[in-house]
Parts: sequence; structure tokens; C-alpha cells
Amino acid sequence: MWCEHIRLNLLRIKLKFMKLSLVWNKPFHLFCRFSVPVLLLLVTINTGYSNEVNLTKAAATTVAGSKLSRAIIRGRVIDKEGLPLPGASVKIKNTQTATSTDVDGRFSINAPDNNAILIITSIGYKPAEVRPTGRELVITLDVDQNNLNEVLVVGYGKNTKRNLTNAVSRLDAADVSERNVTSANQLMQGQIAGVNMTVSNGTPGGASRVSIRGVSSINGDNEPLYVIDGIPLSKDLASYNFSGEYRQDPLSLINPSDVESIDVLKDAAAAAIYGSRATNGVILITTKQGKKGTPRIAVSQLSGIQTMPKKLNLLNPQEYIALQTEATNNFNRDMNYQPGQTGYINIATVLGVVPADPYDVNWQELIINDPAASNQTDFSFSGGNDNMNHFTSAGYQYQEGLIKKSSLKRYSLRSNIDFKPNQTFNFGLRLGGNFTHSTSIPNGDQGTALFQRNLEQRPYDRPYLPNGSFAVGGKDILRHNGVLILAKDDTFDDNFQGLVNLYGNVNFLKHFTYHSGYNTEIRQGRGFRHQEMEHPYNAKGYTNDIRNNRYSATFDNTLSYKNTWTNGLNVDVVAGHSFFQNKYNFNQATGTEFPSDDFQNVTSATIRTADGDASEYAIESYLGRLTLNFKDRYFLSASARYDGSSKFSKANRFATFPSVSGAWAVTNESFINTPDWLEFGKVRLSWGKTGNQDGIGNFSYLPLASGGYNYNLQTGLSVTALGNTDLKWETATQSDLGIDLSFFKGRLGITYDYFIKKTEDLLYNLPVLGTSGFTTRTSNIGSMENRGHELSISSVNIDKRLRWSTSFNISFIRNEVLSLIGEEPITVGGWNAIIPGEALGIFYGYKQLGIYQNLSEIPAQLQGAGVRPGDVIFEDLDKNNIINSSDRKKIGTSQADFSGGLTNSFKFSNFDLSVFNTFSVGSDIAAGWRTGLDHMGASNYGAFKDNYLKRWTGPGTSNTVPRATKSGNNVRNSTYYLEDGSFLRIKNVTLGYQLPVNLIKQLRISQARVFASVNNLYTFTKYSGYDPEASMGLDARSFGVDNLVTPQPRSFMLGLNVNF
Amino acid sequence: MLKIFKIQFIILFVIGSFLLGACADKLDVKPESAVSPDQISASNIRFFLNGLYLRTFGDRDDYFLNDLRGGNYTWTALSGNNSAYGALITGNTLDDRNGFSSRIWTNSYRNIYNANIILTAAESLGSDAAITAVKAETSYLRAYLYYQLVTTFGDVPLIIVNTTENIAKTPKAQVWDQINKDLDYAIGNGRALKTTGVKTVSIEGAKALKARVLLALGDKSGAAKLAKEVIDQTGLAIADNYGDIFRTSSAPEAIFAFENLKSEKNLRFSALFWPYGTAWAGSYFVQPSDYVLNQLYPADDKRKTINIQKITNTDGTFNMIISKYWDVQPIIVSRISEMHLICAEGFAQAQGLDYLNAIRVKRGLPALTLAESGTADNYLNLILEERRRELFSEGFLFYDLVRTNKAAQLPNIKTQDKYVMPIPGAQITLSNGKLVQNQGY
Repeated sequence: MWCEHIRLNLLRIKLKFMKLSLVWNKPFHLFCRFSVPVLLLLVTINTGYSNEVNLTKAAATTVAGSKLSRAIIRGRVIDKEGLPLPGASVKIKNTQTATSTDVDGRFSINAPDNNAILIITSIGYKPAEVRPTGRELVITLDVDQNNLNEVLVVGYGKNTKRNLTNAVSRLDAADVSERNVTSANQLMQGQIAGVNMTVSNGTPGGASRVSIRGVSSINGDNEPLYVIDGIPLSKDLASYNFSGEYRQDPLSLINPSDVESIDVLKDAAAAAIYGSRATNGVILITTKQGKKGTPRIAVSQLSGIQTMPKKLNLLNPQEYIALQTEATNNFNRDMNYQPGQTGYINIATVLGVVPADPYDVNWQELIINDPAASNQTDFSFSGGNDNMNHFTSAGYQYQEGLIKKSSLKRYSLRSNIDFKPNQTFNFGLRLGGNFTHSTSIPNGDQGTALFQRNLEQRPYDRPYLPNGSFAVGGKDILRHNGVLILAKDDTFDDNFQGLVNLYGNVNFLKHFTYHSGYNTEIRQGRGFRHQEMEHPYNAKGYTNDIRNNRYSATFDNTLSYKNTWTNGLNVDVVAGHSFFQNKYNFNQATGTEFPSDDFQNVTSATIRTADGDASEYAIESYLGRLTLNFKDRYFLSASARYDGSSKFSKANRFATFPSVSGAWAVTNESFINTPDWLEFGKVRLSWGKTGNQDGIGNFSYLPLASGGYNYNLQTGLSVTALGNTDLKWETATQSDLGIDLSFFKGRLGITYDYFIKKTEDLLYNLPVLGTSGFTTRTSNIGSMENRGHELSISSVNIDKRLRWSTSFNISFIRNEVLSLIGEEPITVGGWNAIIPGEALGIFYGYKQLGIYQNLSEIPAQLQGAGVRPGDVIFEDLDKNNIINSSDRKKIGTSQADFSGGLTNSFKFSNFDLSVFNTFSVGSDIAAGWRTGLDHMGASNYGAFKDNYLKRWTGPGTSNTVPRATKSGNNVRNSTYYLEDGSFLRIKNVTLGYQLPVNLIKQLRISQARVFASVNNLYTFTKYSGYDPEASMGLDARSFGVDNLVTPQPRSFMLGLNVNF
Repeated sequence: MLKIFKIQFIILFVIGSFLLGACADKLDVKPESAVSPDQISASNIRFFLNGLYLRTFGDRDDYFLNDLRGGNYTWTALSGNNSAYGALITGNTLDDRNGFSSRIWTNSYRNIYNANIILTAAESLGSDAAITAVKAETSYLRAYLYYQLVTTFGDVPLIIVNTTENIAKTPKAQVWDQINKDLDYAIGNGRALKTTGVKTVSIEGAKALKARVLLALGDKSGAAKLAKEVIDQTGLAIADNYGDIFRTSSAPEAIFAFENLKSEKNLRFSALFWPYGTAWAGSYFVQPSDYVLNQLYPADDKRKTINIQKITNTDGTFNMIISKYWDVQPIIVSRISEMHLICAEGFAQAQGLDYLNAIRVKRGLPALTLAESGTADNYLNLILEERRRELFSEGFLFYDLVRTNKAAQLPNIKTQDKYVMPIPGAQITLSNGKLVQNQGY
């Protein structure tokens, strides 16, 4: 009854809040969200769940052979949070007598006498020894911090870090403090040495760049392979509208809360088992599974607001007019242009119509959604017994972007069942069903780019005309009117994703297991974009409607043999076959010229065009691996994979990817007397090859004549590809030397790796001579090397009432393009080039040597071109007194010297606090946006204030910032626009409080934690833009060019986790 | 015994399941929307020609290169004096990275490649009328492409058999020879305009282009003779309504025009000139130059209000725009007025003046007497000015000044070196220096 009462009260409160929220909107929105889990909680109590649901109450089993029973010892094993630990082993020291705990963590055991000592062990916990006290024992086990004993997923198998021969890193989702990430891979940022993750834009669901041990491929696609519960995920983006920077991460389709752990296969020996697709590393994501014991219900809620971390300082109307007047006068004078002459610039035309009261219009504020809401609700129930484990979850996430209208919404369901009817057979089905709805916005590299275009408005330009209608860019005001774009452009991307992992194992002849698994991802996407009649691009309305179908599946069959001999030899052999298939099709309908804005769908359009296509590729693989472990001292592993891809001609279709690795656990050696403080030490060595065939067309090897080139309503064909029958696998060879050390009983752990990874036969859409009839040809063009050091340190600094632990990782990675077909730089876009001997992703442009102070310093030819004192001195490499494209050189790099993360966690009584930092040092960022906003009058756009105040105004006034002029000389892609992209970011601070058990016991809650969390609290950086991690694209060749992409928001979150 | 049986069973089981999984033939995946180009045959060769028709005309802006460089336009507040347009208009910062050069280069060679494929394949497909027509039309299109290249860059590599080799520049005289050869083939083997229609290359269409080529090469009388043949053979009249030529799909006056359907090419000239928020919404990157606004058209010239329009905004301000093009219409390559102007220039002054006056009178200007036309030099200037008025924004002005060697007087050109555009820097890099940059860039 009292529950009912509370519920009603809460409902009332909720209604009140909702009313308030109409007035106050955002801040209260947050609290309304909180009432959802509370209601859920009450519903579960009302249905009397916890009285009845104990399905299996396995009795404690007593092992026979204890005839000397003189005492029965009873007890209960729990963890630090007071949760029962079922299945823990309880053994009487120096006897064979043992039992295990039941679902409530209880046990009873026959002891020879009351002085017997009990040894309690449970996987993942430190063993405990207890002397019975006569009363019922309550034994609390501590979590084993020694991550060497963690079980890692290694691809077609599992192993512990203690026994591994190769470089694999694991991240437990539970160890990452609560953040409102939209994609599971963002959990990895700053957590794993050698994994560099850059969240290049802050749009919800936006794709990030992940590189494992540097960049190993040149072609667009050099992201790692993601495998979720055995399902290789399609790398194709989940957004279908062309919307500038916004690319929806395929991982944003999956609920990050369902992730149990992430294993990163870093070296070739680890990844070789995924050979054909492993050159850029493999990330294995495992979703949560039910555990044997009390059924568990978990509810969690995370809500908050997100704000713009930084705003730019722009010129006000008076300053703008002063700048443009100065620039115009300088230019006309330099060029000796008289009014009426071609080239003469009239200041009145530049300024346009200046309103009588030219107040400063803050265009940033007009498009920013600040604060933006963020909510996440998760509900799950799980459990298990000897025959079955199950986990079921439902999740909801809603996140708004920092630009108005942009948001991502996700509904997700997951059901994982593992069924083990007997010792011979076991089966499992892991099902995930997800739906996302994203309302992306045209920011970034499109013509209507919101941040860039809006900041470029003249400061007195206003979004509305006096009559209330929208001002039109290029006519009434200078640039596209972002307010108009936001009002008249409706864009969304929908995705339905199904993930199925169905497997069966047959265990036979004691040592053999036959495994068969069918893994598939099905994705149905829809991209819809409607532009109303006032939208600048389409005066009569426009709709584009894309339906996209993707199917990818692997069918794996493996046979494994596992045996342990008494002499200490462990053998594990796997052999198998795998077939992968990826199919894709789309159809697209486009309509223009609508009767009115009431009509949105293509059917009402006057001009309708349709398109549709389908394509597929397949990979077939034979694989095998042998793992030997002798006395836990000597480890050897060898694997091989033979892969064929449909992307290559028959002659080059198959390639072999072998690997060998070994390890020596020095401390397990009896002849070496290790000191007490050194708990464990192991040296690892590995070598292996992996392949890549991603990032090229499915039929790049074939010359193609394609359809669709119709003319005058007659069928048309055109030769569109030259083909290259010599095309073959790109192959990476990697060697790794690793050391794992554990000190002071595991309180200090160190892992170090040194690797050299050389990629050969790089696949590239190589630019070719225009006279060939083509612009590019897919080719194997050269080689590239990554070498680096990785170091991870984890330590428990204090382990008293206050517990303080630290984990730190850092990687130093050097990339070098060793050879290309020719020695000439291959330019990429406006800012980059690929040059042998340099890293991939270097910036290529003009070098600013200073500012001309006097006319006498300027060569005559440049004077003729209008260069005057106050203009930038560009380095004239060929000394011909002309500045053209042959004067460009390497001016910076997008690759960091080192990067990593640092987490400090504190626990005191019921409080926990964690502070997580990420850092990256040595990379540059090309502030492309500054060519439009830091132009000193070269264009008519509004301008960035900081440098305006530092401009050259006469000899000696500046040697870095040029003068005001309308000449375009200074607005080249030069070092002037290149900035230091180094940063140290306080990525997350979380403070949590575990509610006392006696308080929540009444509500039948076993555990409850409330917490507050801040993301991106502060970033230490010299970068003048919004975000030093920003990048317009994800391509490694041209990474780090910022045209004002949406920054990562600063978010303030409150959360609640409840377990029943 | 049992054990052996078991092991045999396992081996069979494992082999069996591997065979079940093995599917090497599934790696033979075929494209679903393309075929191998060597499947070209008599039945589909015209499909390839249709593809060539569609793609031969390149980028929207490239059509106006000669208007940009010749002084017909100025930049707008939106594009600015340092934009790609501004660089061509002012001549400042025009270097080997400009987009016009690289687009014209790659688009021309891409289509020359396809033209060569068609011509090579046609050699082995016999000589029936359909194949000969394909060869004639393809020859015309290849000539048209080389005409773009040679007038833009001067010397360019001449490729009539496809190759991926690194080829040096061919002297422009040889390129012109090839253009004439291809046009002669098209004239000798093509079909008449009344059969082909305006959107397909005809004998008359080929003659019209050849007349232009001969004028460029200085063969004035040859050009005039051909142009007169075109006028006589087509019977096309100078349109009464100048605007209809560019604003309707029937394109009166056209001898050859690329079809430009919204469902196919959908190329919008209007989008370069009209501001956003108007009927033919566009980016409004260029506007008429002061000369065009104030001096080009006499008050009663009917072309003025078609080509130039004032757009008044709600707040009383206005924009001057180039209003010649509406919506999406055929892309005219040759039209009858150009033939009249060639005749005017090519024939002796007395005879030529009739052709010039035919245009002038139709456009609302008084006919000139022979005395008024003055010296030969003055007469040439009158023709050039008339061409500038008539063919405004049709891609003629700058090359007219180049072929008459008057372009050096332009403030953005100054020297004969700048009569041609720079060869794309990226192509020079790819050629390892085998392609040599044009003098002055």
C-alpha cells in the first residue's frame, strides 16, 4: 500500500515537474527523466517480483569423503558491495573437502574440527583464508586487481593475460566511469596504449577516428575491424544524407551500456587469426552475459546538459568597417587602381547596406543549442544456473547536438542466451535489435556549413528583414543565413540494425570441440532530406529519399583440441574455415519542384529522378592456430590463415597470413630466485602478417563500362574504370617485443611493448596522368612503416580505508611512408600530401618566413604581383620569385609525438571519485576556418578578433600577422594557418555515492549508487578554434583540417544505478 | 575398435563440415551495373556515343572562362576578388592550382579516351551507315574537345590512340591539324541536320565548328565560306526574340546543342548568376562588369534587358545580375548568329557588312553604312564589339581577343604569355616534369 502511495505521489511530482518544464524547459527536463527509473523501480516492487522470482535454489553440495564430520561450518560469501557470490569454491585447507556457494552465496561444509582453515576462491577475486568463529561466517572477497588473471577474448578462443604470447589489451566497461558516449568505441579513448582515438566532432553519434598502432593503410578506410560477439561489423557509415562533417558512426547503432568488455588485438600474432581484415587492428566487443546466481535486475539513468565549451571572439561592426576600409584603401593604392578600372574595389560594395544602427549580431548564439539535453535509460535483467545464462536489456538514449535541431535517439534491445543442456552440447543465441533516429545538420564541408558561414557574416548582417522574412545569403546578407537553413532543411537518418550471433558447440572425445557459428549484421537505413521553398539551394523545394540495405555475414566452422598433460604441457589447437559475405544495395528517389511546402514526399514533385544499385564482395578463409604452454613458463603460439577475396583477380585472389609468437614467464622458473616484490614477469616476442582489402572498390581490378550515362532519352554507357588486374592484397608485417611485469602482489602492473609494423603493397586510388583518360587508378603503390613504444602502468597507491588507484598509458608512434611508385608528392586536398620519407597525414603548403617590413625586401616580380610591406614572406623554394605550387613543402603533421590517458580513482567509505585525463602532444591542426575568418580583409567576411588586433600596421609592428589588404597573397594554405594541436584534457570527473545497504534494503534493492559526472571539464591547449581534436574528415591522409566542426560538448550529468 | 570408428567419424565429420563451408566459387562476384568495355559491338556502340555526348560538356563554370578573362564579369561580395572567379578577372594570384585548368584538362582527356575507344572499336565493325554515323559524330566530339584544350592551354599532348604512357606536349599546329581532320571526317560522313536534329551532331554542325576553327587559324575566307554554307543549308533565321534562344528548350537558332535534361545532365547555368531567393536560385558568384553595365549595349539594344537585369530587394537595395539563362536548357555550341558574325568577319567588308547588319537590325540597332564601318581595323573592332554583345556569356570574348591579338591590352592579361592558362600543377607533377609549364606561370 505504501508503495502505491509513493507512486501516486511521485506521479504527482512528475506532473508538476512536467508543467514546470513547459516554463523552464531544459533544467527540469533532467529531473523528469529521473522519475522514469524510480517509477520502474516501484512497478517492479508492486508486482512482487522479488518474492517469487528465485527460480533455482540449488542446495549446497557437500563433497563426499568427509566421514570425520565433527563440525558443520556455515557461512555466506559476499563481495565488497554486499552482493552474494554464487559458485565460489570453499575448501578446507590441506584436505580434499570442498564445496561451492549457492545462489545466495551461502555454503555449509563439514570440517574435521573447529580449527580447520577455510580457503575461499572465486574467479576475479582475491582468495581468502578464514578460521571459523562458531557463528555463521560472513566472508567478504576483494576484487582481484591483478589484471594478469583476466580472461581475454583473442578471436576464435580465450586466454588469460598471464599466458598470452601476444599484445592484447582489454578494457572492462565497468572500469570506465560513466560518460554519455553514443558509441561504444568512445569508451576506449585514452584507455589503451597504442590505441589512438580522436573524437573529431561533437555531433551526437558522429564517427571518430580510431587507429591502432598508427595508420597502416593509405586508402580512406584504415579503421580497425570491429567484431561484436563474433559479428564483424560493417564499416560503412550509418548516415545517408550528404551533410558535411556529419558521419554517423556505425557503432552508434549499438547501446554502449550493453558492452561488457572490449579487447584490442594489437600485434599481428594476435590479429592474424582475423588475417584478411586485420591490418588496422581488431577490436572485439563482448556484450554482457548473465551470471550464475541470483537473478539480477539493473536500472540506470544518466541525464544532463551539454554546453558549448568555447566561443570565438569576432569583430564588432565598427571594427569590421575599419578593417575593410583599411584593406580596400591599401589594395587600391598598391595596385594603382582608379575608380572604374577593372580590379578597383569600391568600399561601398564591400560593406553593402550598413544599417543605420549597426548593432552587433551574435551569429554563434543564433545557431547554438546550449544547453543541449542528454538522457540515457537502461534496464536489464539477467541470471543463470548450471544449464543456462541469460541477459536481456532494453535501452534508450537521447542526445541533442550543440547545433539546433541536431539529435540522436536510440532504442536498443538485446537478448543473450547461452544454453548448456549437458557436457556434450552447448548453444547460444545473442540477439541485438537497434533503432536510431538522427537529425543531422548541414555543418562542415557543405556550402551551407553553419558555424563557418554564420561566423563569416558581416557583424551587422541580420537574420531577418524588417518585414519579418528571412534575409537571403548572397543577396540581403553576405553568407548563407543559418537561421533560415535550420528552419527550412529537414534531414534525418534512420537505421534498423539486427545483430545475430548463433552458435553451437559439440564437445567430444574429452578434448575436442567442434564450433559452428553464424554471425550476421543486417542494416536497413533510410536517409531523408527535405528542403522547403525558401531554402537557398532549391527555390521550388527538394526531397531526397534514400533506402539502404546492408547484409553482412560470416559463417565460421572450427575444430579445437585442448589437452593438458601431467608433465605440465598444455596444448590448444584450432583449425577452421570461415566465409564472409557483404551485400549492399540502395535506391534513391529525388524530387524537385513541389506544389507547396505542405508536400514533402517525392511523389508530389514535378521532376522526379530515381537511382539504385547493388554490389557485393566475399572473403573465404582457412585458418589454424596452435598454442603450447609448458609449465606456465614457456609459451608458444603459431597461426596461419589463407584468405581469398573477390576484390582481386583469380590469379591474385588468395594470400597467406602466418604468425608466430612466444613468451617466457621468467618468474615461474624454479632456477631463478625471484625477489618477493616481483610477483610475475614475462617476456613476449611475436611476428606475423596481416592483410587488407578494404577501402577499394569491389571491382577495382576490372575495367568497367558503366550504365546510366543516358543522353537525349537514349541509353548511354561510359568507360569509367581502367581496371588493374595486378591488384593484390595489401600486407602488413609486424614484430612485437613485450614485457609484462607485476609487482607487490599485483599492486603495480607494467606492460611495455615495442613494435615495428611495415605495410607493403599499399592499396591506393593513385592519381594518374589526365591524358590516360582517368584521374585515379587503384594500385598497390608502396610501403609504409609504423614503429612505436607503448607503456601501460596500473597501480594501487593506497589500499586502506581510502583506496587510491592509478592507471596510465602512453604511446609513442612514428609513421613513415617508405616508398611510393614515384618520388613526387601525391597531393591530397588543399592541405596535405603523401611524400616518401615523411609520415602519412603531413600538412603540405607554404612556409611563412615572416612579414615584409620594407619595399626594398620584396623582389621586383612579387612587387609586380602586388606584394607590399606588411604581406607575408613565403619561402620561395625554387628561388624564381614566383610563389606557386612548386613552393609548397611539408609544414606540419597531424600525427602526435605521443598520446595517452591517465585515470586516478579514489574510494573512501561509500564515496568514489575518478578523474580521467587524455593528452596528445606534437600534432598540428590546419585551421582551415581561419582562411575565411582571419583574412585581414582579403574577403568581405566577418573576422576573428584576436589576430586583427595584432596585425602589421607599419615597419616593426609584427613579423607574424600580415597587414589588412584585399589582395589574396596572404590567404594561402600556409604555416600562418597551422597551429599546435597539442592538448591535455580533463575528459571526465565522476563522483559517486553508494547508498548504505540498510537504507535501501527496505526497498529490496541490493545496490544503489548515485553519481555526478562532468565531461570535457577543461582542455589545456593553445589552439584558437573550438576543439583541438577537430577534423573535417576521418581520412588519415587529410586528418586535422578544421573548418569549425562541432566541438565536443562539455556535459554535466547526474546518474543513478540500481540493482535488485 | 570403437575408438577407431569414432576417430573416423570425427574425420569425416570435420571434412564434411569444411566442405559444407567451403565455397571458393562464391568469390567469383560480378558487377551488377557494369560490363567490360571490350564488349563494345555494333548493337551497343551508339550507347557509348550517347555516354560521350552526355559527358563531353564539362563543368558549368568552364563554359564562361572566356567571359571571365575577357572582362565581361566582375566578382560579387559573396565570391570576392580572391575567389577562383576573382583570380581570373583580376589576373592576381592565378596560378597552376586553379580549378578551371584542372577541370578542363581532366574532363577533356577523359572524353577523348572514350572517343578513342569508340573510334578504335568502330574500325572493326564494318562501314554500314549506322557505324559511319557514329564515327562521324565521335570525330566531331573529339575535335570539339581538342578545340577546348588548344584554345585554353596552347600546346597539349595529342592522343588519338589511348595510352597510359607519359606523353609530352604536341605543338599546337598539329593539334589544330587533327581538329580539322576530325571535322572533315564528320562533314564528309555525317548526316544532315534535318535527319539528326539539333541535339545530335550533323554535317551542318560540323561545318559550323569548322568555320570557327578556320577563323581561329586566320583562314577568314574559308571560315566565311563554310559559315555561309551553314546559313544556306539549314535555312535557320536569326531569332526574333533573343531571349528564346537561351530560355526555351527548343533553342531557336541552334545548329548543334548538347541536350540538357533535368533527368540527365541537369546543368544549371542560371545557378552561377542568379542570387539565392530568386526563381533560378543560385550562388551569384559573378555579376556584369562596369563596362557591360554602362557601355556595351546602346539604349535600344534588345539584348540588354535579356542579358542584364536589376533585382530589387525588399529593403530597396538592388543587385545587377546576368539574367540570360533561365532554369535548365540545352547547351548551345553553334548557333546561326555566330555564322552571320563569321561571315561578317570573313567576307570582304562590303559583303560582310550585310551579315553584320542582319544581326544589328534584328537586335534593334541601326544598320551601318559602309562609310560608317570605316577602316578594316575599325570594321574588325565593330564586329568584335557586336560579337561581345551577341555572344555575351556564351564563352567567346577572351578567345576573340586572343586570336586578334588584342588580349594583351586587358589589365588582367598584359602579356601574350597569359593568352593561355597554366597547365594544372598536379599534372606536371604526375608527369615528372615531362609536361612543361606554360611560359609565365
